[in-house]
Amino acid sequence: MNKLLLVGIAIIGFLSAAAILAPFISPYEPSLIDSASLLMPPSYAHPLGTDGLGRDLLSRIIYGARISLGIGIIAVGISLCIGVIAGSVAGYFGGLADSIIMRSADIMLCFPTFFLILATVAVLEPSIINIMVIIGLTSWMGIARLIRSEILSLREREFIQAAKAIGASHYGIICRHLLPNALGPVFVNATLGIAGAILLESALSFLGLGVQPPVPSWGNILIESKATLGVAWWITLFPGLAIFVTILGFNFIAEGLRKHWGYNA
Amino acid sequence: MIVRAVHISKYFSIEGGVFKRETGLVRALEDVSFSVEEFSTLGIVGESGSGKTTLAKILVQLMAPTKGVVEFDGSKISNFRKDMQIVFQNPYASLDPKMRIKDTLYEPLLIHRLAMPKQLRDKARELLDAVGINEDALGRFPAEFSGGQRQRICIARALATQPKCIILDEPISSLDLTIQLKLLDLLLRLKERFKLTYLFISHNLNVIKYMADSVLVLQGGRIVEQGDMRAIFAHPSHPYTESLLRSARR
Ligand SMILES: Nc1ncnc2c1ncn2[C@@H]1O[C@H](COP(=O)(O)OP(=O)(O)OP(=O)(O)O)[C@@H](O)[C@H]1O
Ligand SMILES: [Mg+2]
Repeated sequence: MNKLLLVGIAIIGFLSAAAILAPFISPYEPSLIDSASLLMPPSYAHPLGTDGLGRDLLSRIIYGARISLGIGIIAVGISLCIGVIAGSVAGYFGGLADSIIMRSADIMLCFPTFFLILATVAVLEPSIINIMVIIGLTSWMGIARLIRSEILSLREREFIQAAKAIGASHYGIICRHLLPNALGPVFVNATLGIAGAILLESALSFLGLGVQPPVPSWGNILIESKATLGVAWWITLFPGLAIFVTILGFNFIAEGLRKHWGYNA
Repeated sequence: MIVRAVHISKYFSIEGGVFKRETGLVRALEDVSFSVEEFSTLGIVGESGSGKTTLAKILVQLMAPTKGVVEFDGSKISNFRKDMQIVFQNPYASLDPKMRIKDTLYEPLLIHRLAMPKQLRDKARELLDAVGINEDALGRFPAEFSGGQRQRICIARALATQPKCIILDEPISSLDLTIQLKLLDLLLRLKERFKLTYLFISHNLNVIKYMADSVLVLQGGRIVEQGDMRAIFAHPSHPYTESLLRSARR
């Protein structure tokens, strides 16, 4: 384990713990409006201050972690499932299956993903589930390509040939031998994908198509701060910091894993 | 006869350029026919690139021949995935690096239902014992073993399916000389103990002489000489065999 990986795991572990324990550790209800304490700067009662409705910013950021990390992790989970299955089938079986899958991936890569997501969220409704699913459905292509190329390079190796010779099924060869040897670089990629998905949700929030208030996500807290930017710097700073630290954490994990496993890509 | 190769040819097309046009054809095997008697060892000898590995892969059906067929005696080999096994040249690439030795050995036992879940560990231990590897190897990964030890584990995996016939593709050529001889003796003992038929591939006629009853000499994908081991050693009929013999005597 290298330092980078440890620091990354510490950061993400801390944020995930906060997200999971939100009801127990957040000092206030995240949507509790307190007209007596509007736009209060950080103080003992409100460590990160309050927003324009008098809601406690720390509590909102802690609850926002649930939404933002949840979106990142589940969206990437969906794209991992699709990408791993599509990439293994394409790489292992080759031929027509490979052509169909990889051409679909190429076509999807040609679309400007952000506008695709934007259009879909605008037509459906920007619920948390829809956002997760749509980000997941539009970001599997890189993972599929990666898995496919790993599997192509493993497929002719002797231990795969030996597995065939002892009678292993296609399923057994893919799941027991190919994927365990191919998943390393994919995890590195997926870790970065989580950071990407969190940023994407923030960008959607900016256009009013992210997670809808009053449910707090880091994106929409940040965007709501726009109106009071001149008078209340803390509402902009802290959610921005949360996003920044999270992305840093995932990047540390990705870079750390890459070093730990000895890839140099 | 237990296995027979009937007029086997294998051509690889070489694709080149942007449009993947066929730009050439490698004739890796050309009209190869032979048969192997049960409980015997057929030595296959030839220099690098003569098509030995290609022939081995075709025999265990990891590769389809361009022409010809491989026939089995159905009364001896009913399921070639169980009754025929192969040990590859490079022991460093032949074991799954992410799998513990025990899982590598359990896999064939489970696939062919040769052990109940409770017996797996005992069976795996027996297999390791048969190839002279200590049982504490079970929980370890391939990276912790030397080339010779890995090759023994590969042999144990091949034995796991209780095969009738094993194809050994230069099983010792990547190992140290001292280890080579021990491995050859192990293979001879295993052959007696499990009543095996071997196809033993090598580029070294001395090794073939030590192991085989009959021999087949490949040159550029064609059989140039074929017959009883001792007869060929005494009277090689093809100049290529003579040159192999000369280099072996040195
Ligand atoms: N997948 C392939 N595609 C194209 N050509 C191939 C392929 N596999 C083997 N060949 C060619 O077929 C010929 C025979 O190769 P093969 O590996 O069978 O030789 P070999 O006798 O096992 O050699 P060695 O002693 O080096 O292992 C070689 O010229 C090789 O380049
Ligand atoms: Mg070879």
